[in-house]
Amino acid sequence: MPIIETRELTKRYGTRPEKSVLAVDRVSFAVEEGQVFGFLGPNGSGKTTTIGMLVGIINPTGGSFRLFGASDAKGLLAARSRVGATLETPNFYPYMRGRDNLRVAAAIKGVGRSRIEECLELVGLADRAKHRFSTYSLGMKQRLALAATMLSDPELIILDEPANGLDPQGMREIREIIHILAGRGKTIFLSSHLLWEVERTCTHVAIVRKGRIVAQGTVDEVVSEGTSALLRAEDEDALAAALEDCPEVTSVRRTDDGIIVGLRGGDLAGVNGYLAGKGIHLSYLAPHRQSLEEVFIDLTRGDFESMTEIAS
Amino acid sequence: MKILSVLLRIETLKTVKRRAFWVAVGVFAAINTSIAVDNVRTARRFPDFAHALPESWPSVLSGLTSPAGFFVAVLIILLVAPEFSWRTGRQNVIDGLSKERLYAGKVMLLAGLVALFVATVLLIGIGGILFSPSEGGPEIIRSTDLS
Ligand SMILES: Nc1ncnc2c1ncn2[C@@H]1O[C@H](COP(=O)(O)OP(=O)(O)OP(=O)(O)O)[C@@H](O)[C@H]1O
Ligand SMILES: [Mg+2]
Repeated sequence: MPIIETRELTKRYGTRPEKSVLAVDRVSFAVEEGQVFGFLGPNGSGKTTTIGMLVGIINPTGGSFRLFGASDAKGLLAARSRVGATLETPNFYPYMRGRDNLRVAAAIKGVGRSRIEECLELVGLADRAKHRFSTYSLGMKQRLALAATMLSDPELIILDEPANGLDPQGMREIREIIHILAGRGKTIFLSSHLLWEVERTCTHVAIVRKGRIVAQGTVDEVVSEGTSALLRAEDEDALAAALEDCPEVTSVRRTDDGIIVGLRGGDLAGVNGYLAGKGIHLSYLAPHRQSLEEVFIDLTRGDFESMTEIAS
Repeated sequence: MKILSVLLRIETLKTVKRRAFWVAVGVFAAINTSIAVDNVRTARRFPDFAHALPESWPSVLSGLTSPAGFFVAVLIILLVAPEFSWRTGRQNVIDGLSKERLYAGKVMLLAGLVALFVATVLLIGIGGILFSPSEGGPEIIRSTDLS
């Protein structure tokens, strides 16, 4: 049984068709026990909205989802007691100390005091817990939010951009905490717009763009979907022309270094055989592993172009 | 029953650390004290039948009810508005507190504060009637204190 399962989950903000925003568009994915699942997408792609529906503060306008197998209101209420979650920025009472803020959350979750200290310890806030939340740095706020999600020792932890706005050191600290939690067998669902963060933290990933999932699977699968190869030959023009017709090849890009092709199945031998049949002999052929970043940029290119347009 | 005490505890935790709350309580107490002192002074200055102590303690203290209504309104705003602006109400709901229970806790805290206020006024009133200076009891409020 998946811990989270969504089916065609959809959210449209606003009812008037000309003004409404389709924030989440028929999103389907499943998160299995023990996975660290990264929900990766640029700004405005619907990550927060999706999480908001999972934690029950946003009503879906279409599709459905299950948490721990439950989909009816009563079952979801029970299931959510097994979930710790944050949404967007850390939300705490600014005038209260870090520890007192956790006391409020602990009272809501029905958790004892000793647990508060454990969680403060784990996120490295034990010695700053006596200070007011409003005096915390962003990194400390994020860590306090992480501590709050862990209070009830939930089986599923949902984090919305847990490393948002942090410096590399702060991100590493968050990543280490997530690794510790994953090591304890927790299932973790986190959203991010930082791919290298997801690449280092997650076992599985879904890439979302404008409310649609454009790729999902294990990090390796998603990366190898974008497997490409670097080719060189004496006559690069002939090579490029031949590649255009090759059924294995999805894209051809000429660089100073040679020709980089996107491969459908990652089958280098097949490409080599095809080219040999056309009488083209390669002087160099090697797999070119794209980083998740390249895949991400490829899949979400449209968004970045429109972003630079706005910026310029 | 247990859930009610938990709800009250959650709201109390949020409120006791809040400076704005204590400032509001302080202002309210100061206004009430000055009204009460003023009324006692009037009663002492015109000790005719209408104002005579201890009989007129109830009317002395009933002057406190109008600022009490205003204070309750201020408290409601103070308890509810920031939960939206800080998004803490939303986080409370994510943490497992239903909206109904969130507001129930606030209503209980308010009711508790109103009860506390009424009890204080009643105690002062009873104390005033028992130990009123004009009754020959121990003089806890002398006219010289008030003028
Ligand atoms: N309350 C709302 N009313 C109307 N539109 C909204 C609302 N909340 C979000 N949206 C819209 O829905 C879309 C998705 O927003 P969402 O906050 O889910 O994106 P996101 O992926 O979390 O972005 P970010 O990385 O910036 O946090 C955006 O176009 C946004 O403008
Ligand atoms: Mg967001």
